[in-house]
Amino acid sequence: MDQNQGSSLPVGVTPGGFWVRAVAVIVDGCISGVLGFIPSFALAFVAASMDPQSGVAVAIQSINMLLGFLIGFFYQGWFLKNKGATPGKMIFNLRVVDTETGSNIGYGKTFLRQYIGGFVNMLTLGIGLLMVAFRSDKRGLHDMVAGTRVLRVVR
Amino acid sequence: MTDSESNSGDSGAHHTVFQGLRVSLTPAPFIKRFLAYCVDMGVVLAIMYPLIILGAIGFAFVVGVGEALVSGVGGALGIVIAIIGLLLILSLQNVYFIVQEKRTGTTLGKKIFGIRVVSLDGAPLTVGQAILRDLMRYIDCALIFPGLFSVFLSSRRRRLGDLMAGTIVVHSAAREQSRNFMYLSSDEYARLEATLQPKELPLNLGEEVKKFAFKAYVTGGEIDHEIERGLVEELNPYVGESSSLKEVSSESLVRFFAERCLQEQYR
Repeated sequence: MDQNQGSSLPVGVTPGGFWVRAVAVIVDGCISGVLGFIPSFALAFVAASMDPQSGVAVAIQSINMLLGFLIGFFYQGWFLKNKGATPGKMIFNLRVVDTETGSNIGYGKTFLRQYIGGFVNMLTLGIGLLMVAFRSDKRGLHDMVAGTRVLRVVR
Repeated sequence: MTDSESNSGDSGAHHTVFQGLRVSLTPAPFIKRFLAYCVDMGVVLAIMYPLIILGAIGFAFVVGVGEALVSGVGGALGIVIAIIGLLLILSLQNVYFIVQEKRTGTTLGKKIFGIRVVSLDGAPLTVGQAILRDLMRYIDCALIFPGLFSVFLSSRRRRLGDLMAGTIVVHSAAREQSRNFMYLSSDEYARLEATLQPKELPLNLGEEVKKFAFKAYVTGGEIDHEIERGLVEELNPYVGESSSLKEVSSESLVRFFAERCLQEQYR
């Protein structure tokens, strides 16, 4: 874990700072919330009109949860793979890149970063996220797990 | 202001010329508009949410103060002021769309999905058009979503707001500009692309170039000039036959190809 990587970035590219990333994550949450709301609401509406104990209602509620996961996963996955950043990050000119090649990450790494990394962050009670604030290369535990960095491209 | 349209069917490819510039009039697919709208509403929500919370605190404060100053009426007055405040915050949503669509024809969500709003003759929106279009959104989304019917039943996927304001949502050629370039500016990239006339790199060379460039120009400390020169050697066959190659530095060449390999992911 080399902490010196942040020092030699050229003028146009800096590591994405804690607060900028935090706001970006919040905005992303709102956007995927809006995206997931309509199908989720429709499904919940259908489930509510049935006997909550019935197998069908339970099945619908499970599908609702699965759908929530899928929407969240593909939101991150598609944007990070095809655009290098989710809309919330785009607002601040942030890019999520692979530490070795600097390219966009695919679905596999996104899964590692968001879900495995997210899980580990939870286990460490958020210390993994605070790492973004305190490391010079501004990488969190989830970045380490997935081998990614978040850069800010200032043009 | 010259106006020439070439039609090839209803929702097929259109273009027009407005003030000497070619403007695409190809209607954007609904899914892109929907996703762009979700993104925009997400951003608006993210901004409004904290403001509403602050507003709620302010509300309690104003009502309390009002009640204390002029008991009876003061409290009611405070509530009125607070409601006005709330409406102002909610109207931010409209301001977001109107200002952005008037100035550039796009919003953040539209920029991401490469679509924009233009008048039917290709002209940018006037203030009146922008306001009318936005306010109609309430009617478009009312209860049974008449806007949705309008989009699918009208000839160029126009919702009620579009029909009333005389606008259309089209594919945007400007989506190219919104990419973030990491190794050189977009102008430099365009210049070098014209100068070098590059060919497609094989996968492993592309990976090598990307790895080196990221390490050398973005993160690492020392630029290993040995490796850089080696890469320039390997890259030579992929550049067009042109004497201007000699004017391009090794670093620029490697940077250019690294950027090119990155950009390939956007296709």
